Order: sequence, then structure tokens, then C-alpha cells
Amino acid sequence: MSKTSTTPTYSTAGTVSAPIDLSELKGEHTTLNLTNSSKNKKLVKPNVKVTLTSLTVNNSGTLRRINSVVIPIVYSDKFYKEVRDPLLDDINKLIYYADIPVGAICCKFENLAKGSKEPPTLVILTLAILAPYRSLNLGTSLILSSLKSCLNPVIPPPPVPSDNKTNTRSSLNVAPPRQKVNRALAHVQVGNDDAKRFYERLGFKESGIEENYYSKVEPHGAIIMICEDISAALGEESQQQPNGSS
Amino acid sequence: MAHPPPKHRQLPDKETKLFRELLTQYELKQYKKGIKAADTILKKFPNHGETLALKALTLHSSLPEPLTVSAVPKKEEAEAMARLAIKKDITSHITWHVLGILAKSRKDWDEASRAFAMARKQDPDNIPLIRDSIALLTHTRQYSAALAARHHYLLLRPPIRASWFALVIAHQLNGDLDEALQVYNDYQTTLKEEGATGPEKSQILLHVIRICIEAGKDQEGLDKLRQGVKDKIISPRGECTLLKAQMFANLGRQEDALQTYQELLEQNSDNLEYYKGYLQNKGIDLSAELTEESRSKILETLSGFAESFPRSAAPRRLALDYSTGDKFRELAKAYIVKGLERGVPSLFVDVKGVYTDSDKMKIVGEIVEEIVAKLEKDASLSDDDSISPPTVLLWAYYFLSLHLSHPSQTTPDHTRSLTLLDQALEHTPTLPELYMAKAMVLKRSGDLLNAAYEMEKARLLDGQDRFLNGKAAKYWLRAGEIKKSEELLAMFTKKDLTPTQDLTDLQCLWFLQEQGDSYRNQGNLAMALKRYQALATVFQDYEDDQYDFHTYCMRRMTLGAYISLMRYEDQLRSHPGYFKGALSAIEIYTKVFDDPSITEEKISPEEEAERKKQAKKAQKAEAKAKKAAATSGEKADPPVPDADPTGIQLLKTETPLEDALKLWKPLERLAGERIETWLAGYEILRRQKLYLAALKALKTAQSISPSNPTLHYQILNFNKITSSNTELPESIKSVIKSELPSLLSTSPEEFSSSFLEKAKSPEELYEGARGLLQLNGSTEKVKDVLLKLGDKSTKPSIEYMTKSLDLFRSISESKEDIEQLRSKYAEKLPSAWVFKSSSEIDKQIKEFEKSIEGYQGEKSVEQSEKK
Repeated sequence: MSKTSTTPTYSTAGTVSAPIDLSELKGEHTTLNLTNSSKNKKLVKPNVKVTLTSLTVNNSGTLRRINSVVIPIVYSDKFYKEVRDPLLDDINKLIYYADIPVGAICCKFENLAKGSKEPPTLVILTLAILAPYRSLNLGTSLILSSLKSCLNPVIPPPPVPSDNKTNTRSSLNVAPPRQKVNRALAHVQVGNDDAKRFYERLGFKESGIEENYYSKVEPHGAIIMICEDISAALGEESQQQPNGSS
Repeated sequence: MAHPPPKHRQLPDKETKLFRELLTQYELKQYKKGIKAADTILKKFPNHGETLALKALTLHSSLPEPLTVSAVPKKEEAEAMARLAIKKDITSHITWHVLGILAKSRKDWDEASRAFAMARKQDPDNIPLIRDSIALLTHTRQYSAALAARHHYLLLRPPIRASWFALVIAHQLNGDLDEALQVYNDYQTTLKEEGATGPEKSQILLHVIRICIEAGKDQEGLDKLRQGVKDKIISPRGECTLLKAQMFANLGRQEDALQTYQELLEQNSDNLEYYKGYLQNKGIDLSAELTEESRSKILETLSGFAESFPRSAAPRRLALDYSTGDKFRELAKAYIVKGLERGVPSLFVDVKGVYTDSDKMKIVGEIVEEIVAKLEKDASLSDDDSISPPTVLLWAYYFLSLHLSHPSQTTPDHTRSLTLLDQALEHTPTLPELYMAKAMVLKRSGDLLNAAYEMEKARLLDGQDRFLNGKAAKYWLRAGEIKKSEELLAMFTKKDLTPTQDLTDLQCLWFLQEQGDSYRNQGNLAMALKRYQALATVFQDYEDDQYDFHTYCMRRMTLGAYISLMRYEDQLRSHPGYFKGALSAIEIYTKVFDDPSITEEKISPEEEAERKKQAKKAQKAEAKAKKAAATSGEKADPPVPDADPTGIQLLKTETPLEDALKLWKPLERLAGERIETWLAGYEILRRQKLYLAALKALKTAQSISPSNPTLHYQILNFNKITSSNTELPESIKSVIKSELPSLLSTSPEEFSSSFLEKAKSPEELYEGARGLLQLNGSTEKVKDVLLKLGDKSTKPSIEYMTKSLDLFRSISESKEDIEQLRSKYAEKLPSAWVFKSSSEIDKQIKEFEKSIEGYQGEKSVEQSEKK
């Protein structure tokens, strides 16, 4: 009996999200001041179902397709393997609009180890939405969901499946629990003002420029955008549940 | 027993005891002990038939399932022993019973039922014997004998409930519905207290009501139903309501019937049958030509239903079938827009049902063009300030491209269709349906290889989608890449079997057909035939599997399901899968008959060497396995290997026509309304020199479709072979003479030339050319006809162009002429790669491989997943 209560059990609950209601996005995060941006946005009729899905080996083809169409950088196999790290399962997501995959977010954690100089940080690596689906609040809701889960880690994270032997329920290793992360970082290419504004609206601030961040595309420089306090940006009290109304 | 057993059957006391032990040991499955006991008796009395029989049975039961190599001789021994036992003691029910059981396990139903009949003659009141016998008689469709056995059984065991209902069923199967009802009623009146459970009672009552409907006693059925609902035996919903509606309709009580159909629709508003039943009872005959008045009446009713069931698509979709002109345009537009907005992937498949009417097809095209234009301009379909979801445009592109390339278009526009799909892919490159549609359009335009690559792209988007995996494998098969397709299929099949073996075990019909076709197209007729025969075996298995249900359903009282199973099995081989596979196999058999030399393998020295290498490898592996087994201490006893892995023995049959006829016979009975059945039948029968049967096939074909192009060729062929054959008996000659004019009213030459004058479709031209050859037409003339297939005005058809080219290659010696034909076809269908030279194909493959690179990746992961 005590065993079940101490060792976290595996559940697939987080694999596919419940539908996200875009129309309520404004009300839920009033502090983000989305009204400003949605003034010139038109109402979408009829309402469309939007959901998130975890990254797996099998939908990796879809993720590659989205990234290769939206982002002019070719990512390595290693990149795609790393973003499927079970630790990032609730952060890295594909977004489905009307059951069609139209975008994805890929992040990684830095400075998670104890004693590192900087506070633990979520680094946003790629955030891609297919062109026809922009200005529909999809990017915002995708990044918000990632920031939220990085602030409120799901307990327990899903176990790590083995690559070389058959996976059974008992053979799965349970990943260690993750700590809260309250700082996020993103790179924006110099000159990409739209993207910069997008992050600023979410509470990110410019904190310097890294020269030669992009090796293969012009211009090489990247603005470093940092959000020092995610919970403040989300308008959440630190103890509050992610779904609690404010 | 009244009589003492005959002398040769008597055993001394000690042996009698042993014999009884043997019986119990068999029943307790202690086979080794049983065989020992039998041997002890046989040592003293080697001629004791019953002991021999029991030993055979025990030995047979002890064999492993599936059969292993070492068990094969034992099985033969058991069978021989059972036959010997009969010889030793022909009047014993045991010996016959054992023979019957062995035949049953061989699935030789006829022999088994004969043996059981013999056994029953010896011992008429043996209960297990009767039970087995009833199942066998029912299985072999000897209903009257089964009925007699049932009756006998009931007399022996009158208090058992199941045997009464079994008698009802036996009467029903024997076609005597009144008697069936009588038995049920008698049973009901004699027994007040019955032990049946609730579900059993309701099953039985519903079935009896069904019998009432079949017997035309609707009033009686209605009374029973009312009583049943009142007594709470059956639920008033579901099937009960449906039966009630049928009975009201049969009795002509329209008001009540309408009321009941209304109830049914409230239970399930998506069942098209309910709507149709409702309309029929409103006095509209849906099977006849509809008048303007009845049309408007139907539409009015349907729109009423559409309002009361806002979430149901059925009334709206049905309205498309019954409306015309502007009304159709209005309804179709609303239906399509709703489907596009909801993003229904199958919208086109749903709507294309109306394409049998070419006007409606045109209207649908116009509607979607309009939608696409409006969306491209305003990004919105409504007039207010809102925008439509971007997916609407995407699905509209998808719909329009499928519409444009649909085969029922007079000139399918593959180019525009592909452009639209490319536009859609630029819009959203992550939707697998788009790649699939592209593959399908390319396939229709003849570019099988490119199609396969597109399907592969769709598959790579989602590795865990088995549907995409199967589709991709199918497209690779069509493109002739058998190995590649097996690699794909292996991702989802059992790991310790080859994909082919696993899919055969799973009775995957499409796979067997497609792989057979693929082998056939490559000229490997042996493997093709093996797959087609495997397909036919699947249906034999279906039929054999039915056996267990004769007893099982009686025990479980699922009478309704049992009767529908029996009816399904009776028409089993009318399944389109069987139809297609059987016709393909028959074609190969007739080819083998015409030219037995094609069964000789033509292999090049390289292949020969390769094969030797393979054999050596296999030998080594076997030796290794043996060694491993020896060290591990277990006896290696592998299951019996496939005796004919390459199918060559199938192909090298001595009796190709008889084999073909065996496949054809069920079609004659079950698919008699399809002309292909008779065309194939003719090809077999004329080769068997059964000219009258062949004539009958032609006449039946004529009655189905007198203008069929293949029939045209076959008539000319029949005329040629019968008029030149001097050995025909007079009686047959005279019949042909009197009957042939009804098929061939003019001279053969005139028949052919008038046909060719009117020939327009590719099929007509091809068959016309074949007809010409029957009249010894010159190669030049044939060429002229075949060239017409490449004309602008002719509908392009890859199938017939390929056939024509093959035909011409077989008769012409001039390379230039062949080249002329090929280049003309290639011009007509620029993307059809069958008409391309091999260097062109190689170049294209390289391009395709390059284009797919971006989609692949993490191959290693995928493969490790496979393990």
C-alpha cells in the first residue's frame, strides 16, 4: 500500500491535452494585455478546436515538416531526439488546429543543476506556426501553456522508455521529479521586430545581443529576450493552481 | 443392448476392464496411458476392431497443433489404423464414429457425415453421436436429414429446453416456417415454468417474431411482440421497434408504421434505412422513377427531420439524392460548406455518391470553385466581419482536386488537380490526406512510382498510423517494389513471422490480392497464383469456421445471429474479394493451359547463383539451429514447413482447367448477375471443349450486357473454333447451328466491322482488335485500331493501353510498329511510366529519392522500434 503512495505511477493523462478555448484566452490572462493585439484581429467563425500533443518518435516527421517550412535553419537528428526528453514532455508540444498539426514549440532547460551561477532557465529553441494560421493566438497560447507547465511541473513526469528492449510497465524507469523554473529565455534574430514585439507582449525584455548566434543565415546576430519572472508574467500567485481563476 | 455383441467383439473380463479404462483415459486426455492400454489388448487380440479404432483416435488426439514434422507420419498411421478398424469390425458404432471424428478434423465434411450416418445406423440412440451428426448434416446443408435427427434427439431428451428450440431452427432451415411456429407454440403451452434466463428469453422471442414476419403472419408476430413487451421479456427499443415497424408496414397500417419509424428515428437519427422506411410508408415508392410531386414531398419531409435532428447529417445528405436543379444547388452548397467548416476529411467520398448524375457532378464542381474563389479573395464565407478558419480553404482545395480527378469526369483534369494539391501543401504541409490525394491523382495519371513516393511522404508524417503504412505498402506493390512494401508492413506485423505469413494468417484480403497482382505484373505467375489461392483458402476457412457454431449457438440460444450466419455462409463467395481473386487465378490457369511452357522457370545464371547461395545459407542456418537445439537438450520439432514456398507446384498443375473450374463454380451460383463471371466461365469451358456449356455462358453474358466488348471478341472466337472443328458430334453441331444466330446475326466480318465503326472506349477498341485477329485480320489493320487508343478523343486508359501494347508485341514482328504504338501512348499519357523506357525511369527514381530526403530521418530510431 505504502508503495503505491510513495512511487509516482505513470499516467498518459498529459499526452493529449484537453481542447484549448481560444476565446477565453483573453479573460484568463488579463495581465498579458492581449486586447491590444486582438483589436485588429477578426473573429473566427465557426469556433475551432485547438489541442496540444506530446512529441513522439512517430510524429517526429510532422515536427520536422513544420520546422523546415517555417524556420530557415536545418536542425539535426540530435536536436529532434533531445526535444523528446521525457523531462520536457509537458513543455514541448505540437499544436493542432481543427485536428491538423500547424505549429510546435521546442525548448530545453539550462542551469538546472544545483550551484549554477544563473537561475534555472527555460530556453525557447523553436516556436513555429504555419503561415496561414498566424494571428489566431495560436503562438501565444502555445508559449503560455509551456510557460505554465514549466512553472507548475506535472508530477510525476512520464517514464523514460528504453530504446533497445521491449518496454513493459514495470521495466520503465521513472524520471526524477523536476523543479519549478521561473525564468525563460528566447533568441530573436536582429531585425525581426515582429517576433521581438511578440515576446515583449508576453513579458520578455531585451537584455543584450549575441553576435554570431546564427551561423548560416543573415544577419548573424540575435537579441536575447529574457523573462525574469514567469509567474508575474502569467499573473499567477506562486501557490495558485494553473487552472484557478484569478 | 438387446442383442449380445457378436463374437469377434467379445473380450475376456480382464481385457474388457482394460478397454473401459482406455475409454476413460481418452476422455481424461491421458493419451500415453491410453495407447499403452490399447497395445496390451491388441497384443492378445490383434483383430479387435474397436480397440484399434480407439487407439487410432487416442494417437490422433495426442498430436500437437499445429502439426510438426515428426507428427506427420503418426497422423498417417492413425488414419490408416482407423480404416483398418472398420475392416475388422464393420458393424460397430465405435469404429465408424472414430472414422467420422478423424474425417471431421481433416475438415472433410462429406466423408465425416457419411461415417456418422453409418455409426448411427449401428447405434441409433447414442446421444453424442446424434449431436455431432446434426452439426455435420447442418454444415453440409442436408436440412431434412438434420431435421429428422433433431426430432429423434428431442424424443430421447424431451425435458431439455435447448432441444425444443433447436427443433424450431431445424424446421426453419428446412423451410417449414409454419411447423417451426407450431413447435414453439406447443412448447409454450406445455411448459409453464421455464428456466431460461432473461436474455435467452428475449433472444428466442425476437427470433420467433422474425419467423412470423418471414412466414407472412404479421398479425401473429405483432401480438407476440405486444405480449413480450407487456411481460417485460423484450425491451421496447432497438430491434423490437424495427420489427414492429416492418410488421405494421407489411400489414398496410401506414399510420402506425409512420409512428413507429418516427420512434426509430428518435432512437437513431443517422440510419438511412429508417428514413427510407418512413418515406416508403408515406406512400412514396422510392424504387420507381420519382415524379416532381413526390420529390417535393420527400424534400419537405427531410427538411422537417433536418430541423428536428440538427446534429444529424443523414437527412441533409439524403436530400441531395432526391433533389434536382437549383434546389440541389442550394442544398448541396449548404451541405458542402458545413462539411468544409467542420473539416470533415471524408466529405468528398460522402458527396461523390451523387456523381452518377453528371448534372449534379457539374453543379458540385461549380459550387466548390466558387467557394475556393471567395476564400482566396476575402478569407471568409460569411458576409459579416468574421473570417473563416484557414482550414476551410485547405479542405476546399482538397475537395476540388479530388473532384477534378475523379474517374467519372469525362476528361479528368490531373494537371489542375495536382496544382491545387501543391497549393494546399504550401498552405499546410502537415496534413497526410493531401499527400495521399496527390498519390491517388498520380496513380490515376499512370505515374505509379511517383505516387508511391508521395504516399511514403504521408506515411513519414506519422509513423504510428497503420492505415498510412498499409496504403504506402500498397502503393509500393503497385509500383512493383515488393521488397520495400514488405519492409513497411513488417513494422506492424508479428515480429517472429514474415509479414506475408502474418498477413495471410490474419486473412488480409487486400494484401493477398495486391501482392498477387504485383507478382503477376512482374511475370512471376507462380507466386501470383500462390497468393490468389491463399485468398481462396481464406474463404474456405470462413466456411469451415462455421462448424463450431452449429452446436454453440444452440447452447447459447443466439438463434437470430445463428440464422443470419447460415445465410451469410450460403452466399459467402459472392464477396468482391473472392470474386476478384478467383478471376485473377482463373486467368493464370487458362494461360497455363494455352502454353504449359510458362510454368518452366526462366532464370538467368546470376539468379541461379544467387539461389544456390541462399540455399547454402539456409542449410547452414538449419545446421546451426539443430546444433543449438541439441545442446539445449530440447528436441527440435519445427512445425511442418510450407511444401511449396515459390508456388511453382501450384502453377505446374496437371489439371489447370479443373483447378480453374473449382474456383469458378461458386461464382456461377453466387455472382451470376456479374458479366465477368460468364466471360471467365467461357474461357474455361471452351478450353475444356464443353461447347454447349460455353455457348450457355455466352448467352447468359449476352442477356446481362449485349454490348460488352469482351463478349464481342468471345462470340467471334466461339464462331471460329466451332466452325473449324470437324470432330464435333452432329447433335452438338445442330444445337450450335440453331443457337448461334441469336449471338451472331450477321456474317462475322460484318459483325466485326460494324462493332469497330462504333468503337470509342479503350476497352471496345482493344476487344475489337482481338476480334479482328480471330478473323485473321492483318497486323496492319490491328495496328490501326490499336493506334486509336492514343487518339485525343479517346478516354485515356492505362489498363487497356498496356494490354494493347502487349497484344501487339505478341503478333507483330516489326520493331518500328511497336515503337510507333508505344510512343503514341506515351504521348497521350505523359506521366504513365509503363510506357517509358528504363533509362527515363531510372532518372526519375533518383529525383524522387532526392525529394523524399527531407522527410526521412531518424531511420535508426524507426528501425530500433521495429525490433
